[in-house]
Amino acid sequence: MGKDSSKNNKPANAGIKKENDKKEKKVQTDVRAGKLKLFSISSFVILLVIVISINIIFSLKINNTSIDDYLTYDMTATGQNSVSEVTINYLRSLPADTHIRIVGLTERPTNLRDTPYEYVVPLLDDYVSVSEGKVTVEYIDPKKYPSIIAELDPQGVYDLANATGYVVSCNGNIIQINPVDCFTYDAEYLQYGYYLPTSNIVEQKFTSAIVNLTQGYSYKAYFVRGLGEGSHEQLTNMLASMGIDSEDIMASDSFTVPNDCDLLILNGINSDITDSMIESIKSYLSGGGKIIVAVNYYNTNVTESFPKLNTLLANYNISIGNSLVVENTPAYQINSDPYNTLLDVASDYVDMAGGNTSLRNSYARPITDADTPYSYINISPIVSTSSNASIGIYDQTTGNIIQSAQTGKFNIGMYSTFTGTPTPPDVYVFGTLTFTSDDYISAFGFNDANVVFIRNTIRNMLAADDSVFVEGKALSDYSIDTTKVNSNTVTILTFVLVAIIPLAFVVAGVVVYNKRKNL
Amino acid sequence: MSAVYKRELASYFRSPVGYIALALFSFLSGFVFINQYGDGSVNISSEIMSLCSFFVIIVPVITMGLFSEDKKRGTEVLFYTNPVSMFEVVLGKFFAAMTLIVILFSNVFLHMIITAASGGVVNTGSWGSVIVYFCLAILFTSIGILASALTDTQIISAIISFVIILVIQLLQTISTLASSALSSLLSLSMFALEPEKVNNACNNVAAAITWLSPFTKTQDFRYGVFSVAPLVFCLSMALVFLFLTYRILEKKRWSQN
Repeated sequence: MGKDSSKNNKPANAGIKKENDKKEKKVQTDVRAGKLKLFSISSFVILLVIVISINIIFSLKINNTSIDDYLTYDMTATGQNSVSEVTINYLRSLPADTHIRIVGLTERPTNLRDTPYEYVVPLLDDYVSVSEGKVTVEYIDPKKYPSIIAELDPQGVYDLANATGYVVSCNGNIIQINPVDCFTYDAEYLQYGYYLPTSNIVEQKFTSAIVNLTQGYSYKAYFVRGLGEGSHEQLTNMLASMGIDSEDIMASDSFTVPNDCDLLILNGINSDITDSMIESIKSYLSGGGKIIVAVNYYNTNVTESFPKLNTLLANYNISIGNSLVVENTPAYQINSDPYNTLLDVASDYVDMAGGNTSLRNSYARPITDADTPYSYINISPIVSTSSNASIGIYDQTTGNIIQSAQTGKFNIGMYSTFTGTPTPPDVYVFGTLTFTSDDYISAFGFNDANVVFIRNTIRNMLAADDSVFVEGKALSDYSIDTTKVNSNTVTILTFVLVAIIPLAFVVAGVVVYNKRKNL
Repeated sequence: MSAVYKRELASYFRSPVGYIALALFSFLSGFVFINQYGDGSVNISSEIMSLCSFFVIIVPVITMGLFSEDKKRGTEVLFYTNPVSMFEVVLGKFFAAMTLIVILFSNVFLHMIITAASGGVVNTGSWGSVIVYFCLAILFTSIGILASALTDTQIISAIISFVIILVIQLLQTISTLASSALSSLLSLSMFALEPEKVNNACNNVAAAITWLSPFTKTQDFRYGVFSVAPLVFCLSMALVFLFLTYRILEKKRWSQN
């Protein structure tokens, strides 16, 4: 019995052993699986932490500067997205505790493509990175956070509630900048209501604002308005970049030149000044005042002879003619146009024209001396035509220019001052708008010789500091060459790129599918 | 790895998937290009950045079958039984998908040649956009591969990667919405918070969400601004997704479920 029972116990013991082995194996497997699971999770977590840490280190800002700022490069040919040395040097020259706050009155724009912000947002980021913590840029939408308006403009001087664009703030003062104003536009397109940007002056606008907020404006210029003149936005930009604040003053019978006027500008007027203006401006100039007068001979002003303005200018032995200058020398004509021409720069003014001996002219009036017989008046020509020019008058009945037979050299710009007086006036008169008009500056930019000339002229008149002047940056032109592409080319390419190539791939896909579907 | 790479690349062209992707991409890119070309002004950067918004369609199509198809057919067992590292398998499939994206992108290179031949501009901004395109492609392809490793159904894999890429594309909008929602919540009188604190909190939330957006980080490239950090972000995040894919596939070796 006992034998039998021992025999019967053998398989039972074997079964228990097998079960124990299984259990042991399962325990070992569980331990191994647990370890691998732990390893798997921990290795992933460690990698994730490392990756996030690296990325945080890259974007972490210390004193408003991150590592990323040092590893960002503007590869554009004209440095569209980076601030120039002029700005960097100015920002570095400011005291360390300077805080210039730039606030965009909107959410940070995300879709920059084909908007003015395309050239503003990346550039402002660069201001932050090069300013050593002196410039901060924020984007705060006043509709969501109305308190920002009172924060920026506690006195409520500016209408920031309805403003768009940016506010540059420093020392309790602010300057508004609209991104749309940060470009020059093609004047020809503007006539038809299209805004075709020709150059980017974003940096010029913001750097000017920073300079004027940190240093204050040095001078004040007044533009006379109300005489049929055009806009003067680009000239205002240029003045601001030289530390010259500008304001409009309306022409009227009670006109007086403000006491704080350092420079009076009559830019592109199309109708004559008033009697009271003659006396007021004369009085202003007698105290050492400075004036720039620019008129042309075009469209609405061809019948205007400016008798009162000439009465004023006669005191300085200058007269504006009532005719159109016609250039007969082909070498001086631009595109064979006798009214759009080149002018010779008088030798004394070549330096002011940036070394250029000729400047552009368009539809000019002749500027002559007024035969005023006072020896203390000292006049000098600035720019003039070739010696083979003539003058013409617009015939309103036929619409033609009736040209005089007499040819000669005509001055288009003249300067007058007094000698022997303690406070001599500075009088610059131009018979063309190619130095001062928005149309011209927009079309040719701030680096054009004419614009450089007028900038140097103003700098010399006022001893203004334009050492922090940032030049405009030409924009990339993505136009394709119309001589190489016609409507047939576009049609063929459309057919090939949008129809033929995709269809070819679809057909190939169908063939492959049919051949392999039964494999 | 090269064997896996060759097999996967060839499989794109043994099935309609590669051809569909090519047809789709060449149509979309051709349409975007010809719109500009017809207007007489071609900005290659703009075209490439427009094409980035099509990742949400292209990437799921390319990556949906990478692992899910093997799982469905049961051929994935070959990866576990062959003497090859699972990470090499992941990389092989990843490089195959990237190669197909390069082939797709040859359409844009063709557009660049046409633009240059037509007297247009192919500038540094254009090449910056090309770099961004491939960095984003690397990131999104790694997400697509992860989605494919999570399921054995191609459609589900495509849906997962579609949703993830869509969310990433909408991060900027999400940040604005989150900021507005938080602003409304914190402005309630029960919290009694100062407007400045509410403002700061909302801005920080928006900034944190936006920080995750590769599109926001890389948007300056098209203007000719080259920055290292966005590239590091895309590549390092791609590494994370590829490693996660590898860990998920490795799980089968030791998992008892």
